[in-house]
Amino acid sequence: MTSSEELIQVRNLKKYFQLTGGVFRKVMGYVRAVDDVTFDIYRGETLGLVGESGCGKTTCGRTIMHLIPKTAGEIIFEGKDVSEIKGGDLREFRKNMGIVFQDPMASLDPRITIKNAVGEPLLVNGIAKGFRLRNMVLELLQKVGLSEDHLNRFPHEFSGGQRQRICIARALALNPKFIVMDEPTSSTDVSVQAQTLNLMKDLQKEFNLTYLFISHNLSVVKHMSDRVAVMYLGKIVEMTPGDIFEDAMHPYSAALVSAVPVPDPSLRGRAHILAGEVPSPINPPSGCRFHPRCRFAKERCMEEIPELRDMGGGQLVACHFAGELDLGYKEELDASSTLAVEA
Amino acid sequence: MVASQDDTSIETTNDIRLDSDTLLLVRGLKTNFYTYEGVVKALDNVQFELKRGDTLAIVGETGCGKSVTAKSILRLVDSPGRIEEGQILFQDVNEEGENVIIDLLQSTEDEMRKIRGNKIAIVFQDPATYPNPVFRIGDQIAEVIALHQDLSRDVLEMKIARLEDALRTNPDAENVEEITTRIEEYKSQLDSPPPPTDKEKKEAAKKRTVETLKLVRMPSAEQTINQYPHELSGGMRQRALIAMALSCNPRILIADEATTALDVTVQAQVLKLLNVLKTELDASIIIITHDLGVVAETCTRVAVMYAGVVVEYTNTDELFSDPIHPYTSGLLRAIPKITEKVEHLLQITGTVPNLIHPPSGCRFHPRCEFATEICAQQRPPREEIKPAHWIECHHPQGSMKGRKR
Repeated sequence: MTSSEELIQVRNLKKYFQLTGGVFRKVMGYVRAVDDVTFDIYRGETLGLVGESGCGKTTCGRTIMHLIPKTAGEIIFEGKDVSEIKGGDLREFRKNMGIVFQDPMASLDPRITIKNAVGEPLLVNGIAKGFRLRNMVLELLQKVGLSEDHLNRFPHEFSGGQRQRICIARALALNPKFIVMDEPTSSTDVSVQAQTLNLMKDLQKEFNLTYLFISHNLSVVKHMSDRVAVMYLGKIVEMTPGDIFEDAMHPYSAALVSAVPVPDPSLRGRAHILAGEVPSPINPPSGCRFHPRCRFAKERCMEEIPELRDMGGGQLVACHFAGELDLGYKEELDASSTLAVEA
Repeated sequence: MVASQDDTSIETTNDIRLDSDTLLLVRGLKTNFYTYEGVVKALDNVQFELKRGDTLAIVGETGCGKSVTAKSILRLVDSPGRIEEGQILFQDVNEEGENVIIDLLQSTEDEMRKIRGNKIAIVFQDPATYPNPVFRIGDQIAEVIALHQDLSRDVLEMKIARLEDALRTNPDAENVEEITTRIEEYKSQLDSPPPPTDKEKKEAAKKRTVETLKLVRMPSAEQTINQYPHELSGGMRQRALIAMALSCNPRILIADEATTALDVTVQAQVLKLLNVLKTELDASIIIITHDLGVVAETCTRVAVMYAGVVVEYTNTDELFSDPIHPYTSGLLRAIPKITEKVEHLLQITGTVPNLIHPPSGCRFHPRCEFATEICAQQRPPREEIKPAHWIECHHPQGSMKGRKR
């Protein structure tokens, strides 16, 4: 499925949010939501982006789409730097991209019928109007498994899963090449989630789409993605084309993987529980950002920021000691193992 | 709120015997919500039991009645909801150390108030909304303790400890004799301590609060009691809520989606903590969740709910190795597995039904691939299809597939 042609190249992308305070709204500091991130997305692939809340997954996706301006770095879409595009060209350019947000209720206007919601991008871009627009919308809705009598309904008349499909139909309206899926199934139930995931896979094949699939649910990401990138505090710590559950090499990815509850009682009790919580991105730890929570941290980790290194087979790991550590996250721990207590 | 007293089909609590290790027995529970659009039949004949030392999972999708079950147990169902019928039998130990059985649906509101938070405690889903934002964490926990617990002995012990401390630090003081007689006097009162003043009670409650916070592994518990909820992170707030629930050594702890709002690494910490505390405090836990992973990792027994009905009830290993109800097996196949990669997930078609007009017969039949005529006509009876494995289904699957009724 993966061809090696890059659709999007992200180079040293940074996104800092200003923190202001005081009477004159003085800049007090920065939230380093995305801090020096570099990766490629190949045509036709699904890149999964995982991490805990607040690690910068969503910001990363939105910055790539140029929905929020970046602080520094380059985003190159089909050879063009996205931030150089201005005005009318930008609108033209945006047709290449779509986005599906996390909460379908919040991303659909409750006072607008489905026909108008899905048809709006077509209308705004002057692609179709009138009867032709209606037919195009209907075609889109049928693609996502909805029917003609849904056209004039309002969002509240649909279930969560159906609403998410409407959002997918809307994202598909302009026939984009690239879609950012920002936690598309985290608000749906398991049985409906399977429907949505299957639909997204089918659509990807049909329209040769490229996905950036953002989620905190590792099993869903694994199911959907060709490659997986793990983010921690605004940085990508690991990126692997393989199976993140099998060959995680960064201590954080390993800890994350081991913390996922697996619906199989025979695998019970594997967890190496990660102590503590994600530190604030306002004052991220020095050196390797994971070092305060890392079992293997040494002095070097506090001083030097690890770069992403190729560990073979396209697996990139940002750890000074990648490959040298016995992460041991697959071995079973006995039930009496020490309970994680914050240091 | 309660099932009508004159309903003769409900036996009086005195006649009922429970196994000595059964802590809670829910039987024939039915809860309706009277809304403008119609009557929502949220729970219909729900039945399960909780054994001592068990961790029971109530698992199901949104709107299947998991939380309503939890709220019904504590009789916290708000208007327009009403518990229509059923029994919720709770086996408690009274002051003489005898086992007594209380039907929570027959208890008075005063009796319930003594049970809620004291014998049966609940932790709610969202740690961002539940601790009251305008009170300090410590004060909120202390309030629960002061309300439910007899602190007079604590107060006395505190007084003795303080006097003994004074003796130790200053053994040559003039009033040594007076102090020792005081200590003797207090010690003689230990068995029937005098009622403490409010101020003393507050102090003792505060001391217990710190102890409970330490129990849930709250770092720097002494400082935390003076903090407000917004000063704590999500995981710490959830710990504080668990501390509040555990402060009175409840016999049953209900965790209503207690870890859903947390990140996986924090969730793993909290779940592990719950299981460790269960053994430390000799409590039993009911975990309400939609995450089958959480069930497999932490629970010993499972009740799978669908549209207000417990469709399958068995122990965890059995459920995952041999799911018999078509809904359970469908649900298990719909989750992306980490151990294998498939192109397509098996999906359950359709959506959860509206419970104002629940499907006739078996509530799962419109979505079930095995459904036949009888499923639409008759609700399947609850039966023990294998030892300790109850289901409600006309067409069992798994190892019981094709079995003649």
